Amino acid sequence: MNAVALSGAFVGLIYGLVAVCVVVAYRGSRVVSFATAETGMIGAFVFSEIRMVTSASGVVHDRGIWVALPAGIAVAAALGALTERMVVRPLRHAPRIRPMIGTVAVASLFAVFAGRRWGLSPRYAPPLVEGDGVRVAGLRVSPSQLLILGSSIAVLVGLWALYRFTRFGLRLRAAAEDPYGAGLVGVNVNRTSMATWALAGALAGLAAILIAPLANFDVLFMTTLSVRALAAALIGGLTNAGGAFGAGVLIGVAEAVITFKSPVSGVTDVALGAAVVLLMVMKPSRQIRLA
Amino acid sequence: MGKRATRSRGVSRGLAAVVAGALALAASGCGGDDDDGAATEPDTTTAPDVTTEPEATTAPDVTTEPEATTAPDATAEPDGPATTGAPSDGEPAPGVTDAAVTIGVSLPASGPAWEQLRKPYETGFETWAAEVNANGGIHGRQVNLVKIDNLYTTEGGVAACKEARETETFMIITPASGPEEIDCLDEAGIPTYWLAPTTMEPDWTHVVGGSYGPLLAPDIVSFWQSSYLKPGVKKVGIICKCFIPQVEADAHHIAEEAAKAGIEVVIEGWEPNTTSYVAPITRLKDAGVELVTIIDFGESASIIRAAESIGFDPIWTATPLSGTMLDVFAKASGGAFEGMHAMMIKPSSDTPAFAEFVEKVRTHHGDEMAEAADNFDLELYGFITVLGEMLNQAGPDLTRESVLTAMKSLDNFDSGYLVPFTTLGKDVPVGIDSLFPARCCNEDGTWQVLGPAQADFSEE
Repeated sequence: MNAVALSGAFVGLIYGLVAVCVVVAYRGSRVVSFATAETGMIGAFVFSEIRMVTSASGVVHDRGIWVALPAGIAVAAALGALTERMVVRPLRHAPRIRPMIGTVAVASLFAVFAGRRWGLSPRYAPPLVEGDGVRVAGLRVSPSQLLILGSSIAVLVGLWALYRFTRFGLRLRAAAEDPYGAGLVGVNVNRTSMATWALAGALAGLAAILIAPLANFDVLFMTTLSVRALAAALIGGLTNAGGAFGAGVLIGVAEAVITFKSPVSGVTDVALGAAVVLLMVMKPSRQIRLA
Repeated sequence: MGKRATRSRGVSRGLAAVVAGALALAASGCGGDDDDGAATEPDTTTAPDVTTEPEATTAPDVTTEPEATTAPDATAEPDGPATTGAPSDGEPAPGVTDAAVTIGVSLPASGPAWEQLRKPYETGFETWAAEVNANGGIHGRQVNLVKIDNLYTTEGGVAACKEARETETFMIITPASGPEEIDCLDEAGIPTYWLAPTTMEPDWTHVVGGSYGPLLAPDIVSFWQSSYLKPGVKKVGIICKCFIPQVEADAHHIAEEAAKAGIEVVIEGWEPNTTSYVAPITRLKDAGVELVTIIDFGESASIIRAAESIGFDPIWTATPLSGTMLDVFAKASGGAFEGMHAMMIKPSSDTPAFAEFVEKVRTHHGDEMAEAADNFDLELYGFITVLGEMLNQAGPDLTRESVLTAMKSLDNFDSGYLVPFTTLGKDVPVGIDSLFPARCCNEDGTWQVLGPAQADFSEE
């Protein structure tokens, strides 16, 4: 049972990390991004294409991560910025539901592009770090999982510092809360918003690259996770990265334990849906401001 | 087989692995019609440029005159009883002329699903058609494959059936359909060759199946007990995508068969939308199973890694219709499949049969497609070679009755590209009841066939 719960916690790290990306985009624009998963997925595939090169003779060479990693993250960041410029910014003054739906369209576009570019078949994603891992409570924790844990902590601390101690963080909060007022006091709202979405995209790319070795690495691998990640972001309140991350971990644990205890398929989804609705009802102040 | 299997949409797990991925893409909001796959516009796809071959001098140029082949003139008077395809009463068979026979290929021919099926269709089916046509056709008739888009939905399937009825389609071959479409085709009297049926109704009279899960259950159980795996095994686990009814039904068919052999089976499934497999794997471990069979759409690598993480090291195997059996998943597993044994319905990619197939692809489609060919492409090629034999055995006087007779009397037909196909003497006309024993992996990460196809592995 301990191993099951612990394994759920590590799966939950994945949900939490993706949820943090949703929170970052939301904090900068008050728009829930449904394109986070697909943005990250494209970053991961760019990473894979640069890292794993097939020669003319059919032999696959691992070129390492040092060029591929920044390239994959940069592409995801660029896609995040592009989403802001093409969809979120033009709809800034529209009811919030519109840019949200716009991100759904972006997600579809990215997924279709990826499906045509890379096909729907899975590919091998070697781990970023090798090793035997460590055994905890009857569970062997792989180096890839430990890397996600470490990266998640680093991301959370980094975001906290960014929001708390930098001028950018201050501008970001101001622009998100009151774009008009922020503009009056000299904040370049457009640039701030785009930077936020680029940051969210970069984090999504990083998350996807870290997750790929643990998942069935195809163009849908992040989409599969996004349901749980969005739930985590909602439970976390959409503006609290730490809360979203924690909620992701909790969902992972709950999913594992429920699946272990319940022989009935689909119980996790029902429980998750009920938890989200219940939370919305009990804490209306945390509801998404859709309009 | 008097018992009706669960009626649900589906294809074999191998086919489903790719189709489901495509449909998931569509379901995620990414659907869209392909530019060349409109359901109402059958597309001539065989299109070998027969004008470049000597035999083509007597054949229609299907490349340049598709209208002539997709819609043969059904009103034309038969020229003679032996060559027009007309039955003895003078009624011409739909889709059959002196020069050509039109075969409908019902499949999701648009949108993301088609993107995934395009390669195996072109590499497998079209290579066969090009090869046959380059060699003068079957009994002198060129073969025209016409895609009919069933959208892989109930409504799409019924529309595809209607299209097949209203156009000059002699018979249907379908790699991905639902039972509603097959029902309709059967009622319409159109001979239908369903490669991976999810059900075979006893009252169907015009349908022949390829690989059918319930009929393969005894093979799977005997394989568990063979020396390839674990003679004397008493407790087996099945882990499956059981939230899909057809998969769950397959698992229970196997469990019922195992019970006859005195083997207890524990069935566990995983949740939708998850990457977490430790919980069901832990239950299997706690149940004390010695061997685990995976019925999946391509999740095997994650499942095996989950088992490793909790120190569970059973004997792993997969069903012949699992996504696991596709080389693309074996290669993507990063070595997780290493040492796994399973059964296959086609030769592996290290065999002379596969090499021959690749050369055929090269001849008709060029180097790029040949280099990309894999065992899924070979599977479809193998299946359609059986269709060729059906047409061949139907004789020059091609009618729906003659091809039905041929379809139901194939006896151990071995094309070399699929396990031998037999429809004689079955309760239901299903072709495959033997399987190749296989092991993963070759150096390139692909599956490896270990011996001849057989239905009973208990002597091994």
